[in-house]
Amino acid sequence: MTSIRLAIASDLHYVDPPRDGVSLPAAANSNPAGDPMQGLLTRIRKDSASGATHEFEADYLVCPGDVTNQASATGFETGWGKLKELQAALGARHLIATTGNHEVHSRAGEKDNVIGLSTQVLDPLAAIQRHADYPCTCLEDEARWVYWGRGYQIVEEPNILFLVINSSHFHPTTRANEFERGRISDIALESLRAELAQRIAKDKKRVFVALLHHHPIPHEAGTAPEENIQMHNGSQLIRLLEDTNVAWLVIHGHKHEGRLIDAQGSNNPPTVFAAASFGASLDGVLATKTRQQFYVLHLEICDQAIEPTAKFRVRAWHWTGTSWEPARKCAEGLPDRCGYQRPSFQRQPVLDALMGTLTESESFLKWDEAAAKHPELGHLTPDQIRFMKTMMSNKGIKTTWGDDDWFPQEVGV
Amino acid sequence: MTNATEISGGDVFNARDLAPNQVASNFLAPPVFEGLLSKVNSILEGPRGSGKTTLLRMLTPEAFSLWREATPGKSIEFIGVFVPADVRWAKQLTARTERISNSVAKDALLHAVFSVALNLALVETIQSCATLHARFGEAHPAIFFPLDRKYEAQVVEALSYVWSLEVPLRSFNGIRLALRRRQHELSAAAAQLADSRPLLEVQAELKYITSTWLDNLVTAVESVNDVLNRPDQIWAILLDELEIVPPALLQTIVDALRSTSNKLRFKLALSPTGSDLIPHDQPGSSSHFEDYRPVKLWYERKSDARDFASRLFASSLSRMLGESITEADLLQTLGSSWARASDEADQEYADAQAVSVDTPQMQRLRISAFKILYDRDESFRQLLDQKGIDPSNPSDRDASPEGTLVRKITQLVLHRVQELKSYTLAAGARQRGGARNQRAYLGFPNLIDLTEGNPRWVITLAESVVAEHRSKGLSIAAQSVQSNAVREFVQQMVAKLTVYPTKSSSPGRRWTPYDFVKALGTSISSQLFEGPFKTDPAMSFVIDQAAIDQFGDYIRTAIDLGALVIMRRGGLAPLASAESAQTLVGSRVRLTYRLAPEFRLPLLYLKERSLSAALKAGELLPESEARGKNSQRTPTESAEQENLPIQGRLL
Repeated sequence: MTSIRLAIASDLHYVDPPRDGVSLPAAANSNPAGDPMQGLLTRIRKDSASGATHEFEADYLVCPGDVTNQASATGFETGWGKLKELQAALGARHLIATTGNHEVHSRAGEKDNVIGLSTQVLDPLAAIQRHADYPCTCLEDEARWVYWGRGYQIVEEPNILFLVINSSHFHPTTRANEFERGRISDIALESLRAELAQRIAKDKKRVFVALLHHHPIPHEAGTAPEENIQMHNGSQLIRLLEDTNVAWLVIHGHKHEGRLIDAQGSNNPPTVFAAASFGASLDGVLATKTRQQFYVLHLEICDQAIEPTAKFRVRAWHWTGTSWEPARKCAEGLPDRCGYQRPSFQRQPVLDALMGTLTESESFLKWDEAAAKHPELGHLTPDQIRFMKTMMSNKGIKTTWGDDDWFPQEVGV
Repeated sequence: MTNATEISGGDVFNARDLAPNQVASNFLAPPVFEGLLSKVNSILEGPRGSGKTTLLRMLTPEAFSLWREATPGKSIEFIGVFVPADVRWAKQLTARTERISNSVAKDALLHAVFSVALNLALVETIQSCATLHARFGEAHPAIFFPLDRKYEAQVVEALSYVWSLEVPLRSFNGIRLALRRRQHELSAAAAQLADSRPLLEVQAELKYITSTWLDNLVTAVESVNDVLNRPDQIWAILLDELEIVPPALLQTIVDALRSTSNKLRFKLALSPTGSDLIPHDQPGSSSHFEDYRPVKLWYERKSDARDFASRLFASSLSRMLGESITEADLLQTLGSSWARASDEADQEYADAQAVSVDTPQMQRLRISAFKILYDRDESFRQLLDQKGIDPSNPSDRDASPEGTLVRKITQLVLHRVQELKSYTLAAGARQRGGARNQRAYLGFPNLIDLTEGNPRWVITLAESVVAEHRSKGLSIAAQSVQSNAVREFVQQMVAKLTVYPTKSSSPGRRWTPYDFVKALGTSISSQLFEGPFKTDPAMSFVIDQAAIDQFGDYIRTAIDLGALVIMRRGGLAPLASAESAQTLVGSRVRLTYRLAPEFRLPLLYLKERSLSAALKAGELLPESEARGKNSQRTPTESAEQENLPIQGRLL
């Protein structure tokens, strides 16, 4: 096996159903026709039946949390069931999730003293803990309770190691404003440092993924101010991962805005993939910057014995309200066909090579054709893509670039 | 002509916004379509919903080829370039140029903006012909061609040269981007010209403004033909809804019909009154039949419309119900109409042949109606006695004058029986109260005849019938199903006529097009049901000068919406301005059958009378009375009245 495919669906936000209705993601606005999950399942089945290219296949389905909305028990039941349905449709070996702030009943109020709801108030994690396969379908019972106990668990699968962190671990607490941010405790960090060193040393020819709900580094999106508060001990976590001397991909949700950047650090900063929401309702500034998204990451398995190495490509789709389409415009979220590579590569030699290709051809190439001939072009981060237009222009490469497009439609000389 | 799921009801279907496969998927060719495939310039005339846009879209390479895959036949002799000219486009054009006071500058800008729209459509079409060559090239080598990247770059280079366009890349995407950039430049130029910046200065910056759209188009197609090595390739420009294009531009489009380029043809679409925008008898102007062929998309006679309407109705029912229904099945599916209403031409045929087309049931119905009316109506009794016609045996099978008369008046009798309680010479008519049933308009063929063969109307009515059938759980042949569907079908048109904007025909006059049409309908119904029985009531109208002077705008609107059907044109008028409806003077029109249920009229047209006389009879107040009413208001009230919106206030 040379690569691993991770499908990512974050922040589904299945809401409390209306009377006699069914629970749907918030983005559906109570209209089954606008259900992004059903839309995706239908699309996968249709593609499979028609023998179309299998874009929607994955080895693991990953969910960084907020399956439900405002701790709705019914929402969680439905959402978790749908995630497992999606896992099966993708052909994924396992579903690996972590706990989001909406999974935990952390803001009890007077209405929760109503008969019937008091049980939930007394046990804010009951709705999710009762599931033996939550947060990961590959965890045995004992290992699952370790997750609940210390706030993280490590899952080792062939060619990949998952560090699953419960950044909502302290949300069921007496501290009134704990829900405003995520946290990993000092003790957990200590334990993690020792354990990771031991496990990583066993085999460095793997992909290393950390999964948590809250953003470990600053990330200001168009959301409520309290949601911009950085995770407590987030920077310590990042430092810890950097010190392992392997390349880490940190996947989180919570912000509802997609982003792919390196964290802070000078030697081996982890790569942070902020997943946009799959099913949250978007409004305000956020609605102008992104859509609901779903991703499949193709991660190459690199030998990191000598130095941290990572290479992956991203397929990204956005929800139009009725269908899933590749994200081609900036307003649709993270771009389809972006990627990442470490060590990073010099772009000028790539553009020189592209110029050579274009000069040999008599006219122009579509972008997909150019990327196929020069694979590095498939490993550009969104920020690198933004600078590409200027670099190409400086290089004398002509492009047709539609309004708000991430990539040019065509390139030529 | 399209999937039921794409129609939400209420005449909302418009082929302009559909993809080629959607337009082609259920296209039913009317008789005129084959004629449009030739290289002749054509002007399609028809009211709303008559299929102008669909027909033009069907002349584009992809839609035509898709349709031909399912319906083999004659091929097309040109590559059709569809240029939509919808209200949005026209409004943008008007908005950009209306503040420009210099007429030369305004014309220059109009040409430039229109040119860009044409250029975009041409590029789109060339790309489509190349992309689809693999699929359709073998079947249609005349309209599809292979084009690799190298030739694409050459085509783009040639076009960018003739259009003075700087393209970012020599690709179709590149030239499209450049043309869109030019649209932005023209918006800025319009603003500058409106601020009185000299045209020469603007032209110095934007040199392409100096050329006309026709020059740009001719040089473009000739250059493309050279690159493709297709010297005989003909391109047809398909222009829709020209009546909303600014008049100055329309003049140049019409003049292009006399274009000397043998690589270009034009297929234009207009409303029936839009053709009066086409000047005749002016030196150099295009002339009827020499330079273009007019194609009429409405039917004067029911029998002409019925064949096409039946096929389309059956096909629509089939699609919506998921069953196989052909036009031959409609009699059974819909049930038979209570009687067949023959229009003049059919009547002449029946008279000549002394043939009755009625079933035994219809004959029983006629006998019953004659007897009932004989008893109720003194004037009718006198007529029959005078003519020696036995009401219990009104034979229509012989060629005698009595037989001819019976055939002629049967429909009138049937309708009068429905309306009248009694009529005496002394006391006049006493009409029946309560709601009327719609029997006269149900079943086959009368239900179909309501649609006038207008494709949009056919689909709308079929949709209503199916919706009623489904909601009631009754057969489509059930009277209540069809009756409710007819009611909805009629009310949709009434609503449209009520809200459709028109300029007032004179100060102080504020009628809706529905008021206007209602006056005409009332003029007929009052003859049929309020006075003595008439054997030949006036049920159609000749447009006289007085009517044009007072109600020109209403007449045009009613014709363009299909509420009035032109049966015979007036004579060709001398040069007409875009504001006049002069060519309609002398034209014979009738009310559409779609509105017959609204005024309880038979599906006939019979004799004609002047339109202004009909309007007076229909109680649309004459000018003097309207002015008299206004003079009774206070100055404040008058001012308020003037400021009220034109629509929404009924007399």
